[in-house]
Amino acid sequence: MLKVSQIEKYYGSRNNVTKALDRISFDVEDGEFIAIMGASGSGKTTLLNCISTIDSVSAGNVYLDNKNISQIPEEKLARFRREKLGFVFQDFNLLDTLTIEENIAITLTINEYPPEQVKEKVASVAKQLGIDDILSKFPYQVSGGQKQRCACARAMVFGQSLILADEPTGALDSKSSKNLLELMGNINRENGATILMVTHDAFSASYARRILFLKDGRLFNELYRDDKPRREFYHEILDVLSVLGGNTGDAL
Amino acid sequence: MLSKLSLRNATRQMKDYLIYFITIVIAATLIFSFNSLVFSQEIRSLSKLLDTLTLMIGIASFVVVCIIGWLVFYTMRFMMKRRSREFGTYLLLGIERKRIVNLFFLENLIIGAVALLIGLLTGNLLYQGLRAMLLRLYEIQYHFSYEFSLPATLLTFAYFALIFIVALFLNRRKIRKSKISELIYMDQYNEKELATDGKKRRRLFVASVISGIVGIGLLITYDATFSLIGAFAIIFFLFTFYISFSSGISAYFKKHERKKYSGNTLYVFRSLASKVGSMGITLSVISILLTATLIAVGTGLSFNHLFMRNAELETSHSIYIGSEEKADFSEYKIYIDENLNVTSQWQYNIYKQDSDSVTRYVDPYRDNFRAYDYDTVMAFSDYTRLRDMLGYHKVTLPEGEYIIQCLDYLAKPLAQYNEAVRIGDRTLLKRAVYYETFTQQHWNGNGSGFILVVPDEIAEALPVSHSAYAAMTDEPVTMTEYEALDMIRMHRHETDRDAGYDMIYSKEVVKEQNASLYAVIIFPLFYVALVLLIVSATVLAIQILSEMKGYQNQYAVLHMLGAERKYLSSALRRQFAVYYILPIIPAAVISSIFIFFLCLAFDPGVFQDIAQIFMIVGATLAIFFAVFAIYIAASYVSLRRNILPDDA
Repeated sequence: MLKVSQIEKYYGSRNNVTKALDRISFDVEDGEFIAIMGASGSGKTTLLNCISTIDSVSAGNVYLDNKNISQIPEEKLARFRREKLGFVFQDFNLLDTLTIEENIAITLTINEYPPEQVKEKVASVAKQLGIDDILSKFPYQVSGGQKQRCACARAMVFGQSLILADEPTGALDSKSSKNLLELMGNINRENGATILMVTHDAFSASYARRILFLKDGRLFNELYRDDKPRREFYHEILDVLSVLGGNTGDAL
Repeated sequence: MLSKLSLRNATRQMKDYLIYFITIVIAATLIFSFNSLVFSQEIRSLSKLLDTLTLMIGIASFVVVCIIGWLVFYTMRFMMKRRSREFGTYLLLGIERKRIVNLFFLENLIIGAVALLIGLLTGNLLYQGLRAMLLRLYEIQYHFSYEFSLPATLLTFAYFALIFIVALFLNRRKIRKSKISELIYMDQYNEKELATDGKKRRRLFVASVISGIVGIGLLITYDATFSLIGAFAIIFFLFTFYISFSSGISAYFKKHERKKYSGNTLYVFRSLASKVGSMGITLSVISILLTATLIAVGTGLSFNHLFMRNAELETSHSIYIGSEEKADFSEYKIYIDENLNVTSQWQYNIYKQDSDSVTRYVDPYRDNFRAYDYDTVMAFSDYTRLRDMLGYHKVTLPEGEYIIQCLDYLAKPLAQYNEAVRIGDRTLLKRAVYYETFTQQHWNGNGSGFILVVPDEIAEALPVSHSAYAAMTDEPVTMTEYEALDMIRMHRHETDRDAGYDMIYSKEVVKEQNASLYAVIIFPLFYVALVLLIVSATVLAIQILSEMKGYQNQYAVLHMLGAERKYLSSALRRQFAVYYILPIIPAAVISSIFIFFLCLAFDPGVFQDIAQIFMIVGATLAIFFAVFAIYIAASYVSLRRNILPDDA
C-alpha cells in the first residue's frame, strides 16, 4: 500500500548540504506493522515527515495506494492527510481545551462526518482502546498512557489507512508503554490497520513485524520477526543496534 | 546580569504587546497635550470662561488615569500569566522571589518610560493641533509657536508614575503568593464557569435582561436620580449578561450534540469555553467601557450641534438690549458710546397685538414655550432698518399685507399659515415668511420665535410690549465689554425694581461662550472617549493575542490532522468575532437609545427634524467604528500572520 522509492532530502545551502535522507526505498504491505529504528539524527523523523506530507522530499517519490503523494498539490494534501493518515506523537499533541471524547471526535468533524453519528463512532473506538471511562475528562486530568491511547483513537477513528507513530512511547513509563504497544499490536491484527512507527527503543520496536534500520540517512538493515517469539526478536534487534553503533544505551 | 535579562525581556515584550505599547504612547500623548492646554497662558487668556477648563480636564484626567491604570494592571496580569512558566523556572533555579519581582518591575518600568518619552514628543504635536482648533473656535489666526510646558510634563510624569507603581504593587502579591507548581502549570488549566447550575444561570439571565430593559427605561426619564439608578441597572445587566451567557454555552452544546459536531463549531466553542471565567468578565467590562465611550462621543456630538445652533439662533447683532416697559437706554448708551465703535444703531418698540392666534399656531412647534400671551408686532420701517444693519436683502411690504419674520425651524410651519391678521379695523394678508437670524430665541427679543411685520401706522397704534436697542460695531464685542454692560443692567434692576427685566445679547459673546463651552465640555468628553475606546480595544487585542501561542499550537495540530485553510481561517474569524462583536452589540444599542433621547431633550429648534437626531446617532457610531476598526484590523492581521504563517 505504501511504496517509498529513491527518496532524498537535503538541508542547507548550496555549499553546505546535509543529506538527511539518501536514496531510501522500501515497500509496506497492507496491514503491516513496521518500525523504523536508528540513532538520533539518523533521519527517522525526516522520513516519517516526508511520508506524512508534513515535509516535502527533495527527490524521489512516495506512493500511497498507488497515488504519488509527492505530486499532490498543496491544497489537496490536507484532504489527503485527514482521510488517509493517522498521527501519534511522542508529546500526544492533543488539544488542551477539548475533552478526550472531543479530541477523538475532531478528526471526524474535520472530515465532515455526519454529526449525529459522531458520538457513537467515538464510543466504539474508545471502548476498543479502553478509554471509554474517561471520555468526559480533559487531557490535563488523565495520565500520559491514557492521553496516548486517545491519540491512537484519533488516528484510527475515521478508518485512516496508515497510522504514523513518532516515538509513541517516548513520554510514557514502561508499564504504560507496554500497554500501548500491545494495543497497537491489537489494532494492527484485528482492524488490519497499517502502522509505521519510528522509535529508537528496541523494546518498542520488538512489537513490530518488520524493522528498518537507518544510519546517516541510508537504509542500513532490515529485520523480519516472522514467527519468532518477541523476546528473541528483541535480542536480534539489540544485536543489529550494536553493529549499527550510535546511542543504544537507553535501549538496554 | 539581571538588568540585561530584563532589558531583553522588555524589548521582546514590546514586540509581543505592540498594540498595548502604542496605546500607552497614545495615552501619554493625550494626557500631556490636554494638560498642556490647561497650563498654557495663551489658551487661558482666550476667555475667562476657560477657567473651568482646568477642572474639567482635571476630572477627565482622573478618569483617564483610572482607566489606563486598569489597562496597565490588566496587561501586567496577562504578561505574568503568560510568563508564569518562565518565572517558575527562575524560582526553580533558585533565584529569590524578590529578585524576580524586581526583574518584572524593571521590565515594566522600562516599557512605561519609553512610552512616556515618545508620548511627550507626540503630545507636543497633538497640543499644536488642539491649540489650532481652539484658536479657530475663537476665530484667532493660528501661527506656530512652541512652548515647552514643564508643569504639563511633570504632571504627565506623575500620572504615569502613579499608574505603574499602583499596578506593579497590586501585581506583586500574585508572584509573591504563588507556588512554583502553580506558576509552572498555570497556563494548562481550563477556567471554571462562574454559574454552573442551570437553574441559577437561567434566573440570572432573565434578571439580567430585565434589569437591562428597566435600566434603559430609567436612563431616559430625564430625572437625575432615576438615570443614575438606570445606569447601575445597565452595569448590572452587562455584567450578569455575559457571565450567564458564557456559562450557558457549555450547557447549550451539551444539549445540542449535533450542532457541536458540525463544521468547526467544536473547536471554536471549546477554545472559548476554556476561557469562560475571564471571558465573561472581560466582555462585561469591555461592554461597559464601550457603552461609556459611545455615550461620551454621542453627548459630545449632540452638544456640539447644540452650541452651533445656539450661535445660529440666538442673535446676529453685536449688541441687542431688550427692555420691558422702560424705553430709556441712556445708561447703556453712555458706556457704548465711550467704549465701543458703533457703526450703526437703532432704538425701537415691539408692539402688542390683541390676539394670540399666531402664538397659538406655533405653540406645538416650540414645545408650548410661550414668552408672551399675545402676538408681537413690529413696524415695517424698524424692520427694514434692522435688516439693513444686519446686511440682509431688501424686502417690500405692499398696502394691506404683513410679513412674518421667524426662527428658521418655524419657517416651514409658518409658510403654511395663511390666516389674515386683523388689527383694529384693518385686515392684513400674509405676504412672505423670512427666517434669517433675528434675535428671536429668548425673552425680550424681536418677538418670541416669530414677529409680525406690519405697516408703521398700524403698528404704532398698538400698545408697546417692550423696547429694544440694537447696534453693530466694527470690532467684535469682548467678554469684558459685555460684562460691563451686564453690570449696568444689574445696577438698573437694583435701583429701580419696577423697571422690569432687561436682556442683553451679543453675537460675539454668544460665539465666545459657545467656543468656551465647546472647549470645556466637548474637549474633555472626546479626551475620555478616545481613551476609553483605545483601552477597550487594546484589552480585547491583548486577550486574543496573548492566547496566540496556544492558538498557534492548536492550529498546527489541526493542520496536521488535515484541516484545510478554509476550516482554519473560518475558525479564527469566529473566535475573533465573538470577542469583538459580542461586547459591541449591547453597547451600541444602549448608547444609541440614550443619545436619541438626549437629543430629544434639547430645546425645540436645536434639531430641525428627527433625521438630524439620527444623523448624530449615526455619526457617533461611525466615529466609534472608524477608530475601533483600526484596532480590530491590526489585531486580526497580527493574529492571522502568527497563526497561519504561510498566508499568501
